[in-house]
Amino acid sequence: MEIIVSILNLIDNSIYEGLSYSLICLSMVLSYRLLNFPDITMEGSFVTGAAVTAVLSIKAGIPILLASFLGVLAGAVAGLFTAFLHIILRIDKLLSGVLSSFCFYSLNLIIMGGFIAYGKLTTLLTPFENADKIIMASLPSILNLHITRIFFMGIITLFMKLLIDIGLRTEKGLIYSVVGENEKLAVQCGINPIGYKFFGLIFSNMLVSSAGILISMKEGSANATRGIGIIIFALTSYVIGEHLMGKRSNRRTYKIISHKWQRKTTKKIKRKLNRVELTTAAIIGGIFYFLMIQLGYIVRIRPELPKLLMGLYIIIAISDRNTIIKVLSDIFRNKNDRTY
Amino acid sequence: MIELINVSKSFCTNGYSIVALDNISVKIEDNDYVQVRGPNGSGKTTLLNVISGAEIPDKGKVFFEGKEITYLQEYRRNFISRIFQDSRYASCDHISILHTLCLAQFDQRPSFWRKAINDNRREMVFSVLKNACLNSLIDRINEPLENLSGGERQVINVLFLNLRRPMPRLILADEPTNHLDPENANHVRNLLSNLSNYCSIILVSHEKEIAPGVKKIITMEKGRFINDPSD
Repeated sequence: MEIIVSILNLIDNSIYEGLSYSLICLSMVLSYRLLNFPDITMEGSFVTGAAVTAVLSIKAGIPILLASFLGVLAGAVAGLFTAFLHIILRIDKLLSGVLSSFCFYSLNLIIMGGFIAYGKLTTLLTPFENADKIIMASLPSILNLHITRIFFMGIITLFMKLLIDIGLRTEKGLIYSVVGENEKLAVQCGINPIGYKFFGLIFSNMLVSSAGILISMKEGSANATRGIGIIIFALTSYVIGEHLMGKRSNRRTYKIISHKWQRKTTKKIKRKLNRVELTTAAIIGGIFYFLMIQLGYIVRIRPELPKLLMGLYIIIAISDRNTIIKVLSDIFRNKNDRTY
Repeated sequence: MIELINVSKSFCTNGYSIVALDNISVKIEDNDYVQVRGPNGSGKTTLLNVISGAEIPDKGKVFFEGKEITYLQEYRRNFISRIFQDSRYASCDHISILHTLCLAQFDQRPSFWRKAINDNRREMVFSVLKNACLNSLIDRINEPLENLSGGERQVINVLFLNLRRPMPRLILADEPTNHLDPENANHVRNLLSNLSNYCSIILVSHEKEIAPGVKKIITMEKGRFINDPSD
């Protein structure tokens, strides 16, 4: 019974965490995958959204919904700044992201100081927290589920996912992915790629800042140092997601025949994820990331270890396994069989 | 349509000055099909770069229908298209043939409310591929371009211009048949001669044979025209 409860809690927790961070993963699809722009701005814009929302709602007394909207706009400003650095001032992609996250770190401190708590203020999540408390009262006390909150986060994520999916099927969406891959083709069509780059960076940072707002509400406070390492999380979970989704076609099977490792000779079918799968992969990756972290807590491995294990998993997942297989097969092969 | 008057362009590298274009004047009319020939380093590609706006001439002026466009690089995008020697230079690896050829049919103002692929565009793509006798590509229409060979990609690049609406007024083809096998090279040449009914083409190549449909031949050497282009 205890095991079932802990598994339920585990799944519930990881879905809740994963969904609340999923907007960041979706922004990775827009900036990193499609626009080919590893956007480090998110380290700054993640906190900027939360900071603006918290300050406006707590200190200025603006309604929380309006404050959140303004927070998202603040994230857009961060994206606009990066786009300005890269496109107008022609600073390198990585450097422009680093510079703007640098600047926005200071700005965040100016806006809110180091830390600001919502306290008893009603946030967007408060009604769902109350609903969850009512539901939980009727269930055994060891269960700690976030049913309505998951529903709320799920709806936001699904809405954004569908928006991106449908958007990418339109004319502008196709040009957006073309601009990321080879803007010369867009120029051949007589289209100016600059607007698409601006849009991509602004929209992806809006997604990141809205995730920042939701997470600050979830945690009950906005924290200036919360954004550090968010890019690592985003990249990790996105790569995991892509690997999980792409596995179907990339799976290779190996047979062991008479103490030899032999590679199946069929050629690996290379299949890129299509655009709908990209967004799904991002969301699944985020959930899987937290599933692994939570699993680490449950099996009580040392708290330092989960990230190391995650790193190892990714290394195994994305490295070229052909080399490993070749070395292994050479070891198990008879000396007479060797071709060299 | 497009006119170059006394254009000069030289490059300075490591203290050496190379004259790529030496006081050149040329006029290209509507529906002209010009083949520019000459040995390597005779300034053929620089000529195309100056016309397309990729490079600004040191001296001289470029006119489009009486309007000076020497410094208007962005403006030319609306009526000039290029085919490059390297078929991968202006195409996307991960986008399918169908998507690429539908992209060609977008108008100048793409919309967020229209789908990228609709039945009209799909039919158009199929009919163009059928007319060009490219049935092998019809079977692979949903494959990404990275699965195609260089020659097939070049054919797609030319078809791309064929499908552009409105059609580009001027096409600059920079040795498009290099590295291609005879069959694909023929496809490209035929498609170009077909295109020349609708727009002007400047074809650069150092092949001696004349491409089908060519109306004018310019021979260049050391940045100058050897024969008179007005012939």
